Amino acid sequence: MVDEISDFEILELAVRELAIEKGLFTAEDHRVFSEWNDARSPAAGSRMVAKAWTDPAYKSRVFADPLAASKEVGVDWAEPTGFGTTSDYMHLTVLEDTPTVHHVIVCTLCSCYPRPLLGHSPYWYRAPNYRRRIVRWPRQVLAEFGLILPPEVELRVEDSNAKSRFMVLPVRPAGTEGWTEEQLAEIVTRDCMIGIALPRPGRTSDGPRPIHKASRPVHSGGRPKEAAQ
Amino acid sequence: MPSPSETRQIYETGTQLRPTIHQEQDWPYEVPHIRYEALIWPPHDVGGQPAAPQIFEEKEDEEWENNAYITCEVLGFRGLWNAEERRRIYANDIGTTLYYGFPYNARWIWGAAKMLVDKKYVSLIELQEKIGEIRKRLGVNAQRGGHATSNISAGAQTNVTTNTGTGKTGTGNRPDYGSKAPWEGTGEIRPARFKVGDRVRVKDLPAIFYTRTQMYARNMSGTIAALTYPDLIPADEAWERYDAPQEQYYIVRFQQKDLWAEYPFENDTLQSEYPEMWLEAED
Repeated sequence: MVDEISDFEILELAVRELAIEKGLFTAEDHRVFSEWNDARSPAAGSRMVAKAWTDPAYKSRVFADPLAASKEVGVDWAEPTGFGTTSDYMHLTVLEDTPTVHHVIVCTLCSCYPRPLLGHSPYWYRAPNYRRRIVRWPRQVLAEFGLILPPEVELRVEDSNAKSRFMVLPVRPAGTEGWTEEQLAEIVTRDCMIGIALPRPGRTSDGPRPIHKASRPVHSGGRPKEAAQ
Repeated sequence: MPSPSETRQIYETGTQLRPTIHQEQDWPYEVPHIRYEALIWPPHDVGGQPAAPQIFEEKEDEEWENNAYITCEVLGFRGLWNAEERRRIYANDIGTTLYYGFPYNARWIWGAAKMLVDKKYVSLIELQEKIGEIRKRLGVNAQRGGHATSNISAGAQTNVTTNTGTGKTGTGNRPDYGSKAPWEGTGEIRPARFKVGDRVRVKDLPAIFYTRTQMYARNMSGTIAALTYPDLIPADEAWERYDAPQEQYYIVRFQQKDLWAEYPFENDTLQSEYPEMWLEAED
């Protein structure tokens, strides 16, 4: 059986082709944004956290001027247009965890996320279940991710509902004394910067978690050969 | 003996067998107030709705999903729509059935198509003919079934490794888009009335047509934690009223036990961000 083509793939092609034919945007615009998008990953956020852990002057810049601090780790929020992206805006707040306050981020209304620093949000972050429950039963949801917080710690949920974007700066864990920025960045995973996990020596990846593989992943060339003929 | 993925399917199928009473709604003569509120509740405002735990999965993007995201972003920075308007069209205006019935990025591209037609950039017939032409070109007229077969229970597992590469912003090779975002407000900027530490209450206005003020926060009191920026209010931006006045936005901190009567932990808090018109001084 020929692999089925999604109706939404066809709708996307229709919108894009009509927009280009009518001069609403150019294929060049699509390429520019696509290249910016391809370069996103949580790595920039990891570097930001590791640098803040090792350099107190940088850490104060992270709170005083987060966009400038982002630039220092290679992320210019004004890209790829000169005035930022349509969805991410240019208002970053970094939330500092302490031994007595722990932050976790969500967007209950859609999927706001600091894409320039962390890349695309994980699917579960956008999905209704996490958004419904994390604001009301946050300790239960964190426990499902394997994070159990003592009751005396203040758990602070940040619901990103407007133009500010948030990233969590976790507490530097014990056992990392004398580590370089590169060593530290390795334990600052995506989930630590969302606030559903804590960094610790030896923990360099999130999960394991079930994965839903794409039928035709990004850059696979899209539709199956049979259909393209 | 069932495999782990079969066991999961059996559990999920079993859950679906619980009895449900369906009450058909064919234009009732009257709608009680509670049901009215629930019906007009913007579909995207889900925070606090009870739901059973679900397995949190990672999902790879399909190529079309990535392209839908990119096309919608480009339509934004070329000034065809803004993100607030996009959310209104693809979340609020489509109603609950499509909100839950479509994949995440499908709503984006559906919204883009609707916007192009609503604003008369493209006629509906042009859109319909274009879809037909692409179907023919790709040879899929006979196979309109939709998305490819799910492999959700295939049992694959992943570790998500945070790439520690350089993650450059992009090539930097781009046309000059100017310095001003098309979604920037042009109206007067009103001075801030509140300061950090002030006690405020979120207004309880009807949740009609669109909102960025969550149901759970309405009528709730909290403390101003930060002043963020002045900007258009969502109700204006979602209809491209760029010349409307711009207001100060605030991060408001609530005690969780104030928001949810049954909340069991004393110290926990929740923060969210509102423009000034949604806030009033607590008596």
